[in-house]
Amino acid sequence: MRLAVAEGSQDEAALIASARDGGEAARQELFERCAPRVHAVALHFFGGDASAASDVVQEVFVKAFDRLAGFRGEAQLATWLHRVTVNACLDERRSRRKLVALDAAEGERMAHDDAAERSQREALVRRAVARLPPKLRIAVLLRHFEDLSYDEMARALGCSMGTVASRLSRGHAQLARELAALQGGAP
Amino acid sequence: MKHVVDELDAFERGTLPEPASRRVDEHLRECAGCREEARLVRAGQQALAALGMPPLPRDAWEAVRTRRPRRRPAAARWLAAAVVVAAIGSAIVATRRPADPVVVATGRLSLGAFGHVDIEQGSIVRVEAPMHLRLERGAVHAVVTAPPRLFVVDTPRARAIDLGCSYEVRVDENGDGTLTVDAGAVALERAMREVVVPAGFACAIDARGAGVPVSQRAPDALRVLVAQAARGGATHPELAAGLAAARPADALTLAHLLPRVAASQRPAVRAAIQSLGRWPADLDPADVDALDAAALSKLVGSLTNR
Repeated sequence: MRLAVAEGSQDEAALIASARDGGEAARQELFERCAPRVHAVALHFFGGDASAASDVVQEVFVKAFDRLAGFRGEAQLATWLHRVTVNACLDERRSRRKLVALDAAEGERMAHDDAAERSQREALVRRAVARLPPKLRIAVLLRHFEDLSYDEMARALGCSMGTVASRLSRGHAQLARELAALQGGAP
Repeated sequence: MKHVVDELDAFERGTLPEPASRRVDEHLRECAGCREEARLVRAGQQALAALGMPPLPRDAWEAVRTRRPRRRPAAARWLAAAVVVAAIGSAIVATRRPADPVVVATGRLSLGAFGHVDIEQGSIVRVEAPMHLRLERGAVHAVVTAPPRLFVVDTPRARAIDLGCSYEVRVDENGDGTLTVDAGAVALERAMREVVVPAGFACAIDARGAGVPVSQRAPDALRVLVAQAARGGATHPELAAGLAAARPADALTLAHLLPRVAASQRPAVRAAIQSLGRWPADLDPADVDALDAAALSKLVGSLTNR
């Protein structure tokens, strides 16, 4: 989560301090900076399921604001938000996937979401991403939307940097294979 | 030749430092397999460019600010389960009242990537949560690949906790039942007491919770001994016949029998386990005769490979 400061706004430490003291405007500003990326990761993690993505966003930020007292600086909050996002996605997946096979649900959603797709290509990539194993999927999405270093990803995913390297390499290669399969051709 | 698959993401991004980058480059010149993998990694990275930043829902901040719950209500969740059952099997779905859902079904309940549960005709199954069923009566056969302890089936007498396996839980009209494990293992739990039932074993479930796991190939004399112990006590002839018939695979059954036989009979049961060659090297027989909890746990653990 890059807490890049918009020109003319408070710096991160002051923003977090204000949010910690209960300042609603500060909280909203933190939310508006960080939530789009959390939402993007969650939405694509769930193959376009808006309900699941909203649940994840809400869980992440309700928890974050509840625990702001424990944060001392920007880096810590960003690291923590990444970690909570990963866990919220994996937990939400557990609670949803038990009863509905992903492929079936994915097909259903894609049928309903066609009008909202920005392009056929994006729809195809989204479907291919949704087919990745969860640990590869979350790694690929965090890398794409958050642009984290291997070290930051290792902390978010709770694994070693070597594992991050492996998941990203395998995740991207698998994504290409899934895309090819969806298009009915060789990868 | 050491392949370089795990380094290809960083290499293709140009973020792999020297000398690793040169080593990967040299390897790719010689290894067609890794070269193809590098092409796929690059293709995958490039494909992601199509995924733009989706707009945040307009009410997202308001939902967080007011902590308004946005999860689907429980009724909707169980209904989803019922719909899956209905779609896959010939199910009858009945609801007592909205807050108290009951699924009376025959068919297959999908657990998504985690397996499935086949529900025997006439069974009454409550979907307490997506990975939590309650079997009131009848039988379910579960094939589960979820991480251990994620999927549970409650019965009126005990909870069956999946440890990664295939098994059947059966409950009769009185609430008593049987757990039969085909593959892997299942833990039967009640009031903090847990009995692990491994593949090839069945275990009665009664008012006291889990009974004694018995191999599905156990000799009749041993079955009689277990049944009599459950009823309050085996006679000495029943004990002698059961112990004489026991095979090495029955050592686990004998270990679970130890607390259920008279103190005077316990050394004979313990000696039978020793004679079957399944005794842990550093376990003191006197501790087992005294029903020391740690000693019993060690014995049972060694016999269930846990």
